[in-house]
Amino acid sequence: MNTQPGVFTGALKMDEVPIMQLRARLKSEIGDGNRLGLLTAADGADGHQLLTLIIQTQSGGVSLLNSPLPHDAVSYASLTPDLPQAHWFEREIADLWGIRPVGHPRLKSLVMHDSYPTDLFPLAEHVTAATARKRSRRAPYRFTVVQGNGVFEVPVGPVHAGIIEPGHFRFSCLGEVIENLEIRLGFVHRGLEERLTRCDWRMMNYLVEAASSDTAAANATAHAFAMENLCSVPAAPDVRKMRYACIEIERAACHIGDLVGICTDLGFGAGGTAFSALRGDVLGVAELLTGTRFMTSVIVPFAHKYMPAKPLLIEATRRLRTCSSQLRSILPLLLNNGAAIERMEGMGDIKTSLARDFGLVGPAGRASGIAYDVRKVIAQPEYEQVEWQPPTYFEGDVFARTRVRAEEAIVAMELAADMVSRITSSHEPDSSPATLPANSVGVGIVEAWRGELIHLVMTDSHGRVSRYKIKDPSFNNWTALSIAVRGRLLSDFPLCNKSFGLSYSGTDL
Amino acid sequence: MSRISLVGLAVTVLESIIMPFLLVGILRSCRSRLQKRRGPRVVQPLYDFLRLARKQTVLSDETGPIFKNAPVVSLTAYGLVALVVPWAGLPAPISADLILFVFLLAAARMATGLAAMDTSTAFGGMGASRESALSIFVEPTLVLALSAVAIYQGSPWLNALIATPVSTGGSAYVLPLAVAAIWICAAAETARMPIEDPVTHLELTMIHEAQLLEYSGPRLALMEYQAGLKLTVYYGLIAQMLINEIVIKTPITRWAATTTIMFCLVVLAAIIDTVLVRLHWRKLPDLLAFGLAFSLVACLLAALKG
Repeated sequence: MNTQPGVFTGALKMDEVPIMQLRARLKSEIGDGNRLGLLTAADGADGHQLLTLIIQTQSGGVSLLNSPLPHDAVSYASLTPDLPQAHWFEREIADLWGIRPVGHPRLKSLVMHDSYPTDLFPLAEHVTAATARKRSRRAPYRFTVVQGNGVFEVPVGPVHAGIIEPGHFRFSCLGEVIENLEIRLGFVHRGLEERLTRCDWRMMNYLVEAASSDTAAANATAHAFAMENLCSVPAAPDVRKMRYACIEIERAACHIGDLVGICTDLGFGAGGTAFSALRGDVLGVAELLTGTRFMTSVIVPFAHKYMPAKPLLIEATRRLRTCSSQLRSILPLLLNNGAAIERMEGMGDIKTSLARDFGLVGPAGRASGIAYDVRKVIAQPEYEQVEWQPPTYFEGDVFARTRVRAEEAIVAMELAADMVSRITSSHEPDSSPATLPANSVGVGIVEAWRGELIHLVMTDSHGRVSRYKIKDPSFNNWTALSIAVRGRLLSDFPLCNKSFGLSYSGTDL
Repeated sequence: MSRISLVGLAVTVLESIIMPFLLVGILRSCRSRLQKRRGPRVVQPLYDFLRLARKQTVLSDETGPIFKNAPVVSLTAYGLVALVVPWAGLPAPISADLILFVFLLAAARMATGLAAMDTSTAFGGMGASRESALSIFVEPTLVLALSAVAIYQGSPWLNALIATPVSTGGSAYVLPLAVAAIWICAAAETARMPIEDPVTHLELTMIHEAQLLEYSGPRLALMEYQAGLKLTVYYGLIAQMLINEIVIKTPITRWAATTTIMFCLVVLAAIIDTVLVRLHWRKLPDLLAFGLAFSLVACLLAALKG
């Protein structure tokens, strides 16, 4: 059963695929060019079930597969050997549910650190004692050890010198050359998905914005679409335009912010200053439209909290167009700068085949020749009013990622200006239902600034939210970072890292 | 001791206390203004020094006597450097030749490097290794550049810089080439762009600063002061070589010209810090090789004159 989350018609139904056939089914789907959107677990009628979301890149639809595990079973044959993009999903399932993917090549914990009890599986608390007994305890975390004469380890983090999120990077080096990088996350695991099932659904938007606060607008929008999809209540066109405008402004501001970061990591102070001032201007437009610079608390399901009046919309359109032309005029500082290009070109490259195997999304994927963009794949009429193409490069290096992000920032501001200029009403009624439908499922997919962001919401027989899953785009891309820096110098890592610009909290949840 | 040298000693000591703070303060202030920021006050480095000097020291359990005593050892070395180089525009209080100068710099570098390794942290070892690798290029460049000047003047004594005749023909290029070479050495030694980003907080890209990460309190204050003193001596030395071209006779005007040139060099350094992109670590030898080439040509031209 296919549905179009962008258009939101009809309820999403699940296809039951036996767990034994899941691997073959996914292999053929991926072989057809479809994407593995997310893989997670949920409580089923009789024990656990695996949920798989497939995104049909041709038709723009999605299909949701459920694969119940046999009664009380806590293991299944791992999908990762055939589908490398499943490897973190399976680690996460093992962490949170205690369901073991048998045959996973590198099974170790992802978000549950050794300080948690080894028999604590936070999402699997409602199961029978028999199941709980069968679950194996979590093994202590071990970093991959690179052996050889002269190999040493450089541990960096989780507390870093700048004000950034916590993550631990374990470099195994031979002199200045990085032989292996292992990234350890989970330091900001807050139990968000579990918390979302214990919270009034009308208040959820505040929580989902905190999934990754630099992606607040996109998370709130994906949440709103998921809830509307769940209830089969489509959002009004103007509400949708407003949401998309917010996402595009967020995209522009974040990409420009990371251009600042790239300049700083290059030691290019003049460039950093120029982009940093422009980022402030873009956030100023966000404040004009929503009252907050980071667009929190305005994007809600079934409505939009604050529809600006016409004069504000005109002013926002004008400012966005100014920012866009300003960005065009200062970009050559970085992109036509010989010394900067020398540092970026050929640095930290990810080949197209690798990007496809690991299912890279967003700018990192597009820099490596994966044209996938939710805005193009899933029908969204608001995005079809203007002629635009997501920038795509094939080099997959820092320079390609930087160019993708710079060009996306320009396109984003123009798209936002276009959407804002076509908003007609200044008031949209709230179409919230009194209760949520029972035993239903809803999906919201948006292209956040880091890439494909998926929210999945399920209700139980009482119409309460029983499972909420967020798939942050960073989740797909972290592996690429550790591969990109292999064979590079230690001092190249910060630049490579910034060119990906990934979220820790979005991954840890 | 003559009256002139007593005044020289007093001025040199006073200036080596004030100038490091002042020059670093001007540099930071200029860099901020060039980046459209208001930036710290010019006297901020002095306040930072006093603040750090009052603070408690936190010592890692892994550190030993080398780490504890290195700041004093390197301070002694840099203090002697400040006394043997006529950087303030007046004859240096202690007469020494160019080899002693290079030797003292190496002694200070060794003390800092050993202290960094004594912390047994990955960053400390990394910084020490990078600094040593750079010094392989910096030391010969410095020796050759100063040798070129020595050959040109016919004297290996550093104080001879104070009274250099102007010449024409090929040897007129000796001093400019030596200045270019020493400028590159100074950039490498004082953690300036395009060799090292002086404002970075990224340990993985640091060279000099990675060695100081474990220092705190008064020892960190001493280390930061020394970095300023090294910058001051280098820029003062460059100023002497530039003044030789102009020929200024009285000590007062020479002192004034030196100070002015030092301020100008600091502004230039701030501009370079702002507009340049840091070079890739593997490209650094290319830049440093330029310095070596300049100093070699300078030596050749100086020798041809004689």
